[in-house]
Amino acid sequence: MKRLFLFLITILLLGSSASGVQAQGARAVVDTNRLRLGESLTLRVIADFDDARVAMPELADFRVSPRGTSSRVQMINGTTTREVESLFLLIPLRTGQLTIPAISVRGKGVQAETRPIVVQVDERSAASTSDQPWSVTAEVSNTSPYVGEQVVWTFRFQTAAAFQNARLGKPDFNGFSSDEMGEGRAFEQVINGRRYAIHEVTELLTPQKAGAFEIQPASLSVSVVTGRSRRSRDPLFDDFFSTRNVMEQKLLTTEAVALTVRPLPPYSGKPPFSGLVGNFSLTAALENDEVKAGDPLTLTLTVQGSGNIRDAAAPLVFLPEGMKQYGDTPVEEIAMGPSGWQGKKTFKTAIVPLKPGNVTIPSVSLVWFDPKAETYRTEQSGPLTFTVTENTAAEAVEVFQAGGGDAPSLTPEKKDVRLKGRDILPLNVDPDAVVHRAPMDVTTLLALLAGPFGVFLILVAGLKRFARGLSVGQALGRKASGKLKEAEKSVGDTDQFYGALHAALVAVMGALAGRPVEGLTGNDIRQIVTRAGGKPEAAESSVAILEAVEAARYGGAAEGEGGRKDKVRALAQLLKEVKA
Amino acid sequence: MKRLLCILILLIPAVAFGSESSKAFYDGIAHYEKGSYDDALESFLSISRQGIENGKLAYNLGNTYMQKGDLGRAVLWYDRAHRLMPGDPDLTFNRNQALSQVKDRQEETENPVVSVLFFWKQGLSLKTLQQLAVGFGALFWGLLALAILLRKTPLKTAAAVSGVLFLLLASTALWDTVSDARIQRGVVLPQAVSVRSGLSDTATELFVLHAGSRVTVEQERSGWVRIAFAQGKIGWVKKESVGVI
Repeated sequence: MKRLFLFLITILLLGSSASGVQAQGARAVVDTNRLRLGESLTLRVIADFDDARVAMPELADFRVSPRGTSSRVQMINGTTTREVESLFLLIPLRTGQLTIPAISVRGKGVQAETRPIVVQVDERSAASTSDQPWSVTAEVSNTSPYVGEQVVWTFRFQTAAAFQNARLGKPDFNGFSSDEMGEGRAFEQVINGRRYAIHEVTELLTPQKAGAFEIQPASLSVSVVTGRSRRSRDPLFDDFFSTRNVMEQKLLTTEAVALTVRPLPPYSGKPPFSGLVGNFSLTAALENDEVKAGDPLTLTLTVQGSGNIRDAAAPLVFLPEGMKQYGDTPVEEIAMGPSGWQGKKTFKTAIVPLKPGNVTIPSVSLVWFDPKAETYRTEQSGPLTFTVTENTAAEAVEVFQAGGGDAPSLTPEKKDVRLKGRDILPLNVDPDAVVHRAPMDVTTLLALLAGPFGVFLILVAGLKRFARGLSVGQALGRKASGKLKEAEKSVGDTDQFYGALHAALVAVMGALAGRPVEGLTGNDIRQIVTRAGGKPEAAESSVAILEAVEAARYGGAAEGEGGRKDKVRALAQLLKEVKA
Repeated sequence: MKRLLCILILLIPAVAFGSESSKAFYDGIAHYEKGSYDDALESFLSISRQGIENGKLAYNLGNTYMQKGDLGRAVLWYDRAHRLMPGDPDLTFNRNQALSQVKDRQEETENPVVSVLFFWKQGLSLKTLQQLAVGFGALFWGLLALAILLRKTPLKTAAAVSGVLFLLLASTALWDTVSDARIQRGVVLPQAVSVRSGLSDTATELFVLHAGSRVTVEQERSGWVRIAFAQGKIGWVKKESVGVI
């Protein structure tokens, strides 16, 4: 009996892993190995170690949507096991035998790979959409638009079942600029005697360049009601009519939509092409047909129609000479209609005539491309005429201007320089452009900043070591040499000379004594020199130096430059003997 | 003689590499002048693929993408050029021209106080700043060593002045270098891209960005990157939608 039980458990375990393959530490499991285009499968990657991170490879045959990660901890017989499960939703992109390759899973010091899984994908179901309780479709209003022509992309979700939590994943619309066309609409329709709820979402697309494009499939994640279940099975408390919906999570995808965007045909007309594609009209109007010289008159140009009207620029107006014009900010009354942007754009220009007379503004042209007629169209408005009368008030004002009304101005009127065209500056042709000039990384910078500091430390340490190697006598001898040089240089400066000479004398005596000395007297000098084996003349010469220093510093009896130099020479001679 | 021969042999690949890049560079210029922007792009990109980072090369790539009408990549390469040579007047003009065509209004993220305090480094590239810091470092330590050795007051003053400048330049260069390495800035490449709340096409669309908009790339996961456009505008887009500067 026990053996039979173990055998059954083994069979069960083997059966449960029929569609999954076990690898060391990680395994991948799919909920189905056979599906149709438009359906999806769930891939579970399970790892039995901590901090497992799934490195999902690029799958050319599937569209992959991550669905989150969860972890479980189990404790059985004192042994703790941990499982990290990552969910992915895979939508096949073609039919045939598709392979989900080995997936790498990394953890702390652990790396494992799942085994590849083969999935059979068949063509879409042959049943008509009306036979299915739910379906999604995507289409465009025109599969061969021109560049700049507005195209409406429509996503339709048709369902005979109740649903909730619908979430639409729109494609990227690469190659198009896209604008949402409102909130979408919902209506009901009876098809083959069955009532369907239909939900439509539309997006306005404007092709940006010519070529063949494919709008990727849209996906709809939705929970649909597939049945009803009783709330409980308790015969005492169960209400017979109390039921609840059985929900099933679905991911429905449309097919890709192929479009061929045509380039605009070459244009060779005289008036410049406005860049507008659609159906437009142009009107031009003057505020008044009579104006005084120097007073403004408003010219209103209105471009109206449907298409890429938001891109409409002010039509060119060629005014006769002797007039100034000041453009105003255009006013847009543009809204999203069922076939795209439509409305009008109004350009107001203030015209200031400077001289009296009859003025004619030449007709204003607007050239646009009509995609339905597949040709360029030109609309002209005008010419417009008005009369400019004398402005007596302005003349009266000018009478009182400084220098007189007719006096020529010495400084010409300054005007802002405005850009007339839009273009970029040319290429940089410097051959230096192929030399690598990237900034340093942090490590290199730190090394270069610390390098001189290291050299400095070595230098200072070397100096210290060098200084440490000298005896007191040698060090004081070096100091004496320095001070003597200083005294020699500052012979002309009494204070500095005697200060340096005194310091040199003290250092020489210290060098002779083999220790630093302070508060020297004549007797101290004689003793030091005699003990060091020096001649009495040298001792007396040093005492004379000390006396000369004290006389100069405290008595103000400074010697001439010759005497000072003699003192330096005598002390230098003594130092030479000390060093010898 | 043998040693000289060895040196010459070692130099051959470097010379060949240089001439190959130069040839590609001049080919790119010739294609650009003829209006063959795809060929020009291929030539310039072939130099970039060799790992060469150069502001002038990046500027030329920005120009070529601009001529092709690829605003996102034009802004990306202009920004890469701006990182390497921020004071170049031609680059400033063309970059502004490209940025004026970007649809999304970019919020100013730089602290105005910081801009005022560090006005002096506005036209300096990171590399120039680093070179200045290293140069002033050498000057400072050299002067300090001389001041200790010779015990002269003017040397001490010069060492103190160069020390202050060295500290300022070194700390700024280090900060900028670390920021450059840690903070990844990116540019939106497609005409329009939906920024979503999660790492899937079905996640809620939070907002839409258009080509050329500059973002901060915060992290990368499973082929998606989390980007921050402005305060409170954060979300996920596919990795290929954003080019890192």
